[in-house]
Amino acid sequence: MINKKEAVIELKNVYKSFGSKYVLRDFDLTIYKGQSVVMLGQSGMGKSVSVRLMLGLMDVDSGSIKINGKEITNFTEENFYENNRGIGMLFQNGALFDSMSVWENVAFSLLNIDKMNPDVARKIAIEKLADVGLPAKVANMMPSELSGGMKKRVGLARAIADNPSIIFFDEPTTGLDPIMSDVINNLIVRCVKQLGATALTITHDINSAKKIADRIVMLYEGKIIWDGTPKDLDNPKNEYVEHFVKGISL
Amino acid sequence: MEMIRKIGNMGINFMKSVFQFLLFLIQTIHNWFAPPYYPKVFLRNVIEIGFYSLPVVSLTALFAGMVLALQSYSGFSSFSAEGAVATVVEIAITRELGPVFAGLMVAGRIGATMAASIGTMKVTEQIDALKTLSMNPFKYIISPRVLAGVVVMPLLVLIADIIGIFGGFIVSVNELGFNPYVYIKDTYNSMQWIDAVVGIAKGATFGAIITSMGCYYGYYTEGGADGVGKATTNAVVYSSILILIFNYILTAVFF
Ligand SMILES: Nc1ncnc2c1ncn2[C@@H]1O[C@H](COP(=O)(O)OP(=O)(O)OP(=O)(O)O)[C@@H](O)[C@H]1O
Ligand SMILES: [Mg+2]
Repeated sequence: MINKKEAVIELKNVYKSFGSKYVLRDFDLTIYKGQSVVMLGQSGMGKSVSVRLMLGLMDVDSGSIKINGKEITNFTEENFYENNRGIGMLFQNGALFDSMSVWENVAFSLLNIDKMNPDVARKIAIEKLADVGLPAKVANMMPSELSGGMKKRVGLARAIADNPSIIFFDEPTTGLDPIMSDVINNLIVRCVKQLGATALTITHDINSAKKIADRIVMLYEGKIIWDGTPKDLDNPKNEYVEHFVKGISL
Repeated sequence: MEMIRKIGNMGINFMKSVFQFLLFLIQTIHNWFAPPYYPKVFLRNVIEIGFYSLPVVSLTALFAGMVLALQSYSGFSSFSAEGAVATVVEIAITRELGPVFAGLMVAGRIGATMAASIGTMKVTEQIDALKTLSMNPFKYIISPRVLAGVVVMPLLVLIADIIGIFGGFIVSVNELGFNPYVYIKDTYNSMQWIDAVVGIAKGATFGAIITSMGCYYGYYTEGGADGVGKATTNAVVYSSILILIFNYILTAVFF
């Protein structure tokens, strides 16, 4: 089903440190087209940092990152913005534009990059809002009027508005109630299955990981130390992963 | 030894910031000439910088003109040279006080606003979000703002000039007993084209300083709310200092 040949995201020997503190060391990860990968790991392990590197928002200290086969670590600014077309990102805290209404947030790239007619863009934005379980009346609200969970869902709607082929979700269900979490999990599954997108999701939520992933990787001390299917997670054959899944500190 | 090292480090850091700022300016200007453009953002800032600064700029210019008339009158009357009041007010306002007061007022308003709002966007990852939506923040946020500053400030300075001269006129006629007709004629006679040129040149320069410092400090904000506060202060302080320095340089050029 998944074409193993076609690597969409490929990180090799990536090092990243802040001052004298290493976050990633010799980090390797390859994600293939159509895969839905979940990255697990303790807080502060560098999950968000690794995604920021893949998006070119931070520079690596050394190593190689290829997105759709193109090396991005030596990109100039211009290539960089071009390359991010077709990539969606949900930030851990939503990162909504607080000077714009909800629908303008969702339709941002439709309006400003694709130069779509505002009426059409608005309609698409409202559809995407419905996908994340938000009613049309939210469209005209400002981000400051939303609850944390609503902000996150608007961020999600914005990430998928342009039907990206690669999507990053940084803790999509954190701060949502169980029912809404399920809606979001289903949405992620649908994005991958229906749109044929490739997804990398960061989460602490084991249940949600099992639901959305066809592959789960575990980040520990700067490296991927475990790589398997959701089924493998029940018997991970790795002490640390077992503890992580059961929520027992070592 | 320790002392020398510290001073050395400060010097290096200062040079680094200057270099970073120059790169920032080059990118800003480069994007003036590289479409796509975002005219809505530009217009919104034209209104914000130009229109909403009118009250504070007018008030400061008015009182500057008024106080100038009073002071120069008390000075000149001891030489029986009261006739020079109109000329002094005209020259002092158009060459120096109009541009400088307008510049400092707008620096307080706009420099602070820009640094705070862009700084907040930076620390809440909105700038990163723009990038992931394939939007170059220079194109969408910075270049239109700096352009708006460069375009609008000269107009604001010209308005400040007119209101400042008017302030001098009010005081001279109402308080000092000048004949309004003679005062206007004296003002008119002392006016030169170069006064307007100076106003435009200084206005454009100050507009560039205020908006680019505001955007620069905002864009390189680090840390949370604290960082935003620092960015705001730095933007206002350094743009005010630069305004006074460049005011001297431009005066020397036109002298
Ligand atoms: N801009 C930065 N400057 C300095 N250190 C940073 C920066 N960004 C992240 N770090 C450090 O990198 C480490 C990894 O951060 P990261 O945000 O990737 O963690 P995470 O795995 O996403 O954690 P969480 O699950 O809590 O979101 C942290 O220890 C953090 O202190
Ligand atoms: Mg994180």
